[in-house]
Amino acid sequence: MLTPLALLELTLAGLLLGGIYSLLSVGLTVTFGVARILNLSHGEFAMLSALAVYLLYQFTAGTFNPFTTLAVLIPLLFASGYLFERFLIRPLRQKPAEVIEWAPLLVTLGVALIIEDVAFIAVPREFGVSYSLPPVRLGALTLSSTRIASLVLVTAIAVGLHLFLRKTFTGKAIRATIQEREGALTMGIDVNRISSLTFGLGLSMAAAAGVFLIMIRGVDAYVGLPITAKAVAIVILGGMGSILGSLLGAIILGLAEVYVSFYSPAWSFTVAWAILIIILLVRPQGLFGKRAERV
Amino acid sequence: MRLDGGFLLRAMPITVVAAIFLVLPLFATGYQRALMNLYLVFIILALSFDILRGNTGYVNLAHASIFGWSAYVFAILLKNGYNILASTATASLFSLALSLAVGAPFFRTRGAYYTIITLGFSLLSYSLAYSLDWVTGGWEGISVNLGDMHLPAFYSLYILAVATIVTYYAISKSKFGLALKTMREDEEAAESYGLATYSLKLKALAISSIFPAISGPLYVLYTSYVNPDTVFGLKNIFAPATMALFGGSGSVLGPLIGSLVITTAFEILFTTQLPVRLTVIGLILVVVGLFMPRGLVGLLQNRRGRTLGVPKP
Repeated sequence: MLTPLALLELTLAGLLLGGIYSLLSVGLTVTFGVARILNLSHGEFAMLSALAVYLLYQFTAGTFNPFTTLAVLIPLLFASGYLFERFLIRPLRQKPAEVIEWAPLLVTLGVALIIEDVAFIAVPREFGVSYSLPPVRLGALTLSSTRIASLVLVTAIAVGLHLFLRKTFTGKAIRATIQEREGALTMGIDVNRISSLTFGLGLSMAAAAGVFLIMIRGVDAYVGLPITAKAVAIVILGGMGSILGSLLGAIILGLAEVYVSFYSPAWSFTVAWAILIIILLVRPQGLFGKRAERV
Repeated sequence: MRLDGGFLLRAMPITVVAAIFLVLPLFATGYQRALMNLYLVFIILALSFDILRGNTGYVNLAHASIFGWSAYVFAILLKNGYNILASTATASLFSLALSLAVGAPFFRTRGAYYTIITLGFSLLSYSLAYSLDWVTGGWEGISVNLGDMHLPAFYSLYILAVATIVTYYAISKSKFGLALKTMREDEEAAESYGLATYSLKLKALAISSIFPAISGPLYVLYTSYVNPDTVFGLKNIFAPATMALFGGSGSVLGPLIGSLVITTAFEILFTTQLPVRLTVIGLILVVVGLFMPRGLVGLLQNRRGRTLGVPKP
């Protein structure tokens, strides 16, 4: 039965899941936006970061707060993203237009498979972190404060990213590059540097998502590609390259998944995809995509 | 299509190989027959994928899922007591119609967008096959009891593979193929020359989808089993594209060689149970994507300075 209390808990869980998805998909959409290349290994970095949290948690015998790993993992994955763009994406971008349509898919899929394999060799089973803060009691209500803290942190990161993209010069340069790469180039923006920075940013968002993800569910080495698939769905749903669209799409998907799984877990992913296909049939450019997007 | 002496001479080796392949399964064990069928399935999928990709440039990642839908519908109908022929026909027509129904709106996008949206469709197919568990059996899939159908499946697949090659060749030599290639170079220019690009794309998609639509049921015929991972798994979704592009998209030889090499590699890696098999596949993908823009056939072409029919990118 769906009581008001259950509804509140579900909404909270849905918002948190949506928040995690939004970190993932905003990361993916900005990297797609600047490079016009879909990074199929995006979710692997969330998995790697979840794995890092797990290993640290095991190593210290559960005596530390997993949230603190964010301070290490975000800069670390930023550097990885920077190098990832420099050595894998940039050479691809310099290929003829015809090759750019498929070669990045193979390369990033290849990277994803390699990362999965390495992670599976490191931890060949499902892993999780059983960390929780004391629950919050409000009258008859008992809410998980770990979830609330996660939700607050996710929101803070999303708002921080938003302000960065809106207010700082680099952020504006990133948005300009997403809108019109050649135009940004003629305005004196170093689009190569911006691409590297954006990949750094994208992967550090994935890293943050991984930290929150492992605190709400178990993860295994092969979770990366399904995560990427969901992020891809959200990115298409929101309109490719649209940051606002991705945020909204992620919240819709997170809530839909949690509400649907209350009734039937098997359907949660399908419903998400069905929403996606229906929206695409009506608006092929996605919720906030520009009409007639061309590459 | 001209049938001059040069063509016949060039067609000779492939005909001899094809003839040998034709009698081989009669002397093979069950495993070898299944492997030969698998080769044929992937030859058909890679070549028919390249009918669209090689001529129009559109990378259709929904290609394998059309195969998957056809396989599922066939298994479901068979399970409900329909005979093999009626099930095959219905499944093929259904999945062909599905391909066109979803393909039509997808063609409003281009380039990387088209690729990603078709990938989205394949992922939806995968999760639908799980969720609709009262018809699809969920993760357990559907097994059908047909007895040993390796040989009938082999000869049907063989005929279908030959038909794919002939169709591929006929299109590349036809005026229709020329129109598609014009469109690949520059869609706006093609339109301004009076080519109806949208209907051309749909026609190319229809022709390319016929083959996965028919091969789906033939696949179930010899495996007598279907589940979400065997037909809609990521390995399958990316297989036709990987094989065609690895071999060299845009020529008959490219997807043919690509499917043979990659199917062999998969078979070796997955039967030997190496711990690093995904790494090996991943490295192959990275190397092909970064350093072999024209695939294996393109490499040969560069080395020997002659054309094997793969167009320059």
